[in-house]
Amino acid sequence: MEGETEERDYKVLVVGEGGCGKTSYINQYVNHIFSKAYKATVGVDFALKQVQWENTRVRLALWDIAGQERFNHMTRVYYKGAHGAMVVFDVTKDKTFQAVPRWKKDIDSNLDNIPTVLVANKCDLLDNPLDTETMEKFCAQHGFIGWYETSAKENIRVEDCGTFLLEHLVKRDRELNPGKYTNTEKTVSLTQASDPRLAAKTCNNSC
Amino acid sequence: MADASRDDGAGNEPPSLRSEAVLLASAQKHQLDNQVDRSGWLPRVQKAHPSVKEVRERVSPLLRALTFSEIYNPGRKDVRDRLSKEDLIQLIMQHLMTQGLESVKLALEKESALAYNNKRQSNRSYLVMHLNNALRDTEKVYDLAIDERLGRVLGLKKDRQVELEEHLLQVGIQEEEDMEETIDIWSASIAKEQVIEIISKGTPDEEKIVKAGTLNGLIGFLTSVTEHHTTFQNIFLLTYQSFTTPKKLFDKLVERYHVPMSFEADSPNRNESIKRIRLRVCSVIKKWLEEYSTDFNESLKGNAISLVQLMRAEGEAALANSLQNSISKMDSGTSRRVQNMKKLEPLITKNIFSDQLNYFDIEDEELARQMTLIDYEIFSIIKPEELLNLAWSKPKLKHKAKNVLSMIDRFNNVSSWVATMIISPERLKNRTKAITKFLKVAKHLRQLNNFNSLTDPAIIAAFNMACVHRLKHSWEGIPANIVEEIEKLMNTENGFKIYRDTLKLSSPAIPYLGVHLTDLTFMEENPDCIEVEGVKMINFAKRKLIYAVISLLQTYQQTPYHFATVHQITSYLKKGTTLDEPTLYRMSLDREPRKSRLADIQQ
Repeated sequence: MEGETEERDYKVLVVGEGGCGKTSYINQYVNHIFSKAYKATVGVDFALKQVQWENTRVRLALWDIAGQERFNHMTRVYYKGAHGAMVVFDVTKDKTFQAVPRWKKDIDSNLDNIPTVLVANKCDLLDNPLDTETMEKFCAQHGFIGWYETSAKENIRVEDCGTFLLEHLVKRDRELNPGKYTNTEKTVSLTQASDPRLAAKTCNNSC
Repeated sequence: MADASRDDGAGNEPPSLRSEAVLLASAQKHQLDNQVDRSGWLPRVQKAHPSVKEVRERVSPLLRALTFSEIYNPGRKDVRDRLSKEDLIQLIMQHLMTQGLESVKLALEKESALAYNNKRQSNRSYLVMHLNNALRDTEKVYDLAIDERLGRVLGLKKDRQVELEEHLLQVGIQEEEDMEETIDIWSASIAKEQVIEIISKGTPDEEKIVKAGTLNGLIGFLTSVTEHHTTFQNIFLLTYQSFTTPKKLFDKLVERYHVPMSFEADSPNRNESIKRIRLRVCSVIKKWLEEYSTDFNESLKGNAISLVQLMRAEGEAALANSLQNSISKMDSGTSRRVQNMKKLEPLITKNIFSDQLNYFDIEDEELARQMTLIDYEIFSIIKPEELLNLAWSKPKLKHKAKNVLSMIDRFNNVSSWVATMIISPERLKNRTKAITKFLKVAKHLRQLNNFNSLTDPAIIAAFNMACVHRLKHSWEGIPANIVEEIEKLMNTENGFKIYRDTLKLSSPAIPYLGVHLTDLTFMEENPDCIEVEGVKMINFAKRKLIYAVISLLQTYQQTPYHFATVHQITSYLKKGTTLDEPTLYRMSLDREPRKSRLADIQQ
């Protein structure tokens, strides 16, 4: 990589009802594993994903509220300082979809219009894809930047969805902080950079 | 039901023994067969014979339960397993006694060749009590199931189904899937191949760490004569309910106790070996009884008593006495350490007996203490099994996590209450006063290490609620240093690092449960079972991780606070008024409209 590299840290919230696969999703996105040893070390409250975006090294901190969904106001403490968010629901459980507007409202009342993507998880369990028109309308109505049908289990569109959100994060960052980015080309070149620290953090358990 | 005999209906078979649905179906069938119009005969009969109507109404819940249980038939075998014929006859006899029908009871005794055991010395009829309970449960199931069926017709989704399953689990009709282990513990050689061990090089004593095993394998290891691992025993007893039930474990231990004839048949040390195995089994059960007494319900306690009797009969008097000792301790409740520490004198205000008692009247410190006592009361009774298998977040398992859920409710109530108290006052000055008061209380809660209630999360949650946070003018009167201090606590930049580090150094303390629930949720990502060379094994390494979280919480459960409860304050706090969030937000907008200037809202 030529020239100076910039570093950016983004905090991304991952919210949604319990059991819709938030943790598995992050696990797949960050560590490329499903239902295996993960975060066995107590004390790690967010997962780090490092990606290269043009000549910027981006570190995404993914914040998972798993297990605390029922603490009504607690989740707000997590919201502080977030740059983007994912609202996850389980396509096989209508209840989790019904709750999406509430989670989105929660984000909006605490943060100023951050890019938020809707994640329709567990699509491997679905016979037919979701109706595009309905979903588009839903997204427009509730202010999502877009939606993705994903499967953390089968690793379907997990990476795509992350890239999509990242693109919006960078765009917004440039709008809010003009001049910070030297390279304004719109070419998308994402390369996964492995972070040795991360590897040490997540793989030092024995199960 | 005896009233049915009074029925003098129109010579018809009294309709009371069949459900309406069945009758209607057969009526329709007849209609097709004979072309006789019988439509509406039931209302006609009922109108002509009010007594029929009355009988029908009186038995209708029972009938419904009967028909309904036919649909949700758990199977006769299941029923027999749960309730033996003898037990049923005993119940009937007890009922007869409560009704003063001694001669009938004597006849039944003679007929059934069963002696009435007067175990239940009560003048309440247990038969009626059980029937009432069963009816209540069936009615609930009926309502839910009908809703579910309607829901399906109307195209509604499965939420009711979940609720139904939850209820069925609760009343014990449906059973959870259990790891099937039907192989006798002795027929499978409980040798090492059933337990995968690894040596941890990190530990100085090179303690063996069990990674996985079959249920037989793990129990074999638990009661092994050659291996004694306290840590393994602790992990096992704390987490076994994530892969088996107390009853199954007990049965397996008894199985282990009964050493088969074939065991070391030729060895001269056979008797010695058997003795040692029995001793190990006994010591495990003892520990289980003493440290996890809540795992033993009446029926399991009965099994333990039977085991003691069996030991006596087999001449193992020493083992029998030792086990009996543990059981008696459990009964008298002395297994729980009784705290006789001197309690601190409460700070009492003058109007403590007034029914107008308000949080402003209570000293900051005392308010914090009483809130802490309420939290501790719930926190201290959370059982290990409530934290297994994410029970608190799964509809089907929720009934197992009662206290975890109350703890979460309590958290939500406190933050709603604080927000309500802050937003309710109409005058700006009073809102600022309320914020100041809670900040001061928060400081005391912090000193008490109450991380659940105010200090860290709940009060911060309240301050963070949009409806409170947006009250700019109300916050303006707050001294900057207090705000800074609270913001430092709110800092979650490094996750909950500050909280975790602080908790480690604090005792007594009430942890903020949320963080630990998240830890458990992450750990649950690990598979419950792993396959090793084609054998399905319990992933014990996962249980070890979970054990670390639960045992940490347990250390705080065992250290109480030494404050005296002031009932006037706790009952005031427990019934604290809370408004829901939309209402609070509307009120907040009303108190300080968007973009309002200070002058606009000062009256």
